[in-house]
Amino acid sequence: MVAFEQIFLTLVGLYLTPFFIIVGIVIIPACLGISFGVRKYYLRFLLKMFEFGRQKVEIACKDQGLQSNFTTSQPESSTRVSQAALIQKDSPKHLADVFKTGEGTTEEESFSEFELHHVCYLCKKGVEAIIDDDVTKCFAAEELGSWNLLTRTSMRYQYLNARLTVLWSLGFLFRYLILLPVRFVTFIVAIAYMIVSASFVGYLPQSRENRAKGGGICVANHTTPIDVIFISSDNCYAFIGQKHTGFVGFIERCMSRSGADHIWFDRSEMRDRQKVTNRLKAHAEDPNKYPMLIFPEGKLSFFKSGFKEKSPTEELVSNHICTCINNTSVMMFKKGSFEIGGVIYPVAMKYDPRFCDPFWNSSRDSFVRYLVKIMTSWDGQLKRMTVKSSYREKEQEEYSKLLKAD
Amino acid sequence: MGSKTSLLLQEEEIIQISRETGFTPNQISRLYSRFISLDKSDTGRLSPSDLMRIPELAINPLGSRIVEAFFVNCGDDSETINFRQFVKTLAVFRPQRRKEEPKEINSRDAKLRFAFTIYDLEKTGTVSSDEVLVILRMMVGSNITEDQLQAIAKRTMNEADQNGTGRITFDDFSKALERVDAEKIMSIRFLD
Repeated sequence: MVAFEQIFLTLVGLYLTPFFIIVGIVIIPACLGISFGVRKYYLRFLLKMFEFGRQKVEIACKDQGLQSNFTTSQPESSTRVSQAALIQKDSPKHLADVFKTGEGTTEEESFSEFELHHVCYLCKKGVEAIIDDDVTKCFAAEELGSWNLLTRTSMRYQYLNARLTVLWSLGFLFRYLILLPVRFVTFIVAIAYMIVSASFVGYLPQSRENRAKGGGICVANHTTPIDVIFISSDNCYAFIGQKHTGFVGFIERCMSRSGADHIWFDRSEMRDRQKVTNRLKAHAEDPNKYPMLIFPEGKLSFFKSGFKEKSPTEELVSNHICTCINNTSVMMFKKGSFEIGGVIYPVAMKYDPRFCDPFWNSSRDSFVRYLVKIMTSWDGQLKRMTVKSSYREKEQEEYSKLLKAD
Repeated sequence: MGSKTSLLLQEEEIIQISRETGFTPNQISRLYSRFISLDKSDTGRLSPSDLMRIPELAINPLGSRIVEAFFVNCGDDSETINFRQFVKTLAVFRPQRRKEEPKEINSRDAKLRFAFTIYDLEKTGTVSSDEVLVILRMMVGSNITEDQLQAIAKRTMNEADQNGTGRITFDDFSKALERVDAEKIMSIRFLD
């Protein structure tokens, strides 16, 4: 019995000691805004290590006759490897345009009826899209200019060279045995703190209006679900977003309880554009409320511009809020967010991709798996839905207009 | 994590694919990165749903048919395709150059075969009036009445079906497209 008790105590000690150390070293100084300057040295060290890794990879690649796609001269250019187009697209926007301009048809007679070969144009256009399209590019995880000793790049570099393998293994151990537990504990503490405090804050009298610039709208690009954390670290915002289920939904509900007027929309509610607009407008016009934070990068905004289609005035951001774009591009902002009125504060965020890949490829990973990835990266720094059928209908309509003219 | 060394493209493979398809090695490795970015499951194979996730393809009225024709063209009954099959099908759309030796893979016949597969829903090798109607309906949506569509389909059948069998064979099809510059329409300019 005594032995059992002792084991229990040892275990508790083993787990609680690091826990309190972390709370003491990480969380409390962070709350008080104290910095030890460790971060700066850590970053410098990491960059040096990456540079070393890059050189090694290059040598190894040369030895094996592989093509290294790094830019030799500039380790700084950590952007995309090749952005040039793979093919020259020359399909018109609409199938019907082919016949309007008379291009491509061998017959002189202008288009008047359905011909078997009309599918050829669509075939070509479809295959062109398979080879190259702008939207998917933005949603693909960015390929790095230098290897950051994580395994998440599509090239598997760590098998190239014995020293690299050792370096990678050390990094792996460090990230999983030290960084992950530290971040996990921080995360748990933060969630617990948020749940507890959010339940109480709601009952307290609101006295913070003077701190937040009420009535404004903050517009930002959206790379990851943790964007909000960075933005809100220097001001309080009311979040606008889609109602989620599962873990994210739970957090959302907790936040609402704090009474800061976050707005969450249902999928079904979003269809009712007018209602959404009114709700946002009401919020924006009330100077007593926190400024809103909107991510207006709709995934489909690209198509809107592509088709030169005037979006209806009610066409609103909220439809595609929470779409995460990879770290290289900013998608066209939906204009809906600018129609609500109020002061607009634009925000642009860029993550340094050398330290981690912040892009949440939501078609591949769940949110929790994403968190694990982030927490095991060096520096803890998408909703996928099908395209609206209305865009396809547009194409069909254009084509059928010509048939009708028959 | 990190156990998929096989995902790397081997030099010999590139050369072999290049010989088969006429793509340059550089084009092949770039197509490979495209393949990887489309391969959301990380298995080294693409499924039809991987392709349908491309928004530009999803809004194509014939998107689902194109994807199916793409997979039929690969000549494999399996649900997914590997990189080699992927490139081979894309090679159908390479333009023909006069300097080059004519290749089977991007001949006029191969291009027309691809277009024919779009119509051949049942994979019977021939196209019936109903199949033409289905494709027609996909192309125009609900903008034209069913009666009109049927009339168009019927007329198309009559024009194309030379032997009066009630079905369009591939020969009928290529004859109907005799005056069409299919080589030009179904060629994509690949950059190097």
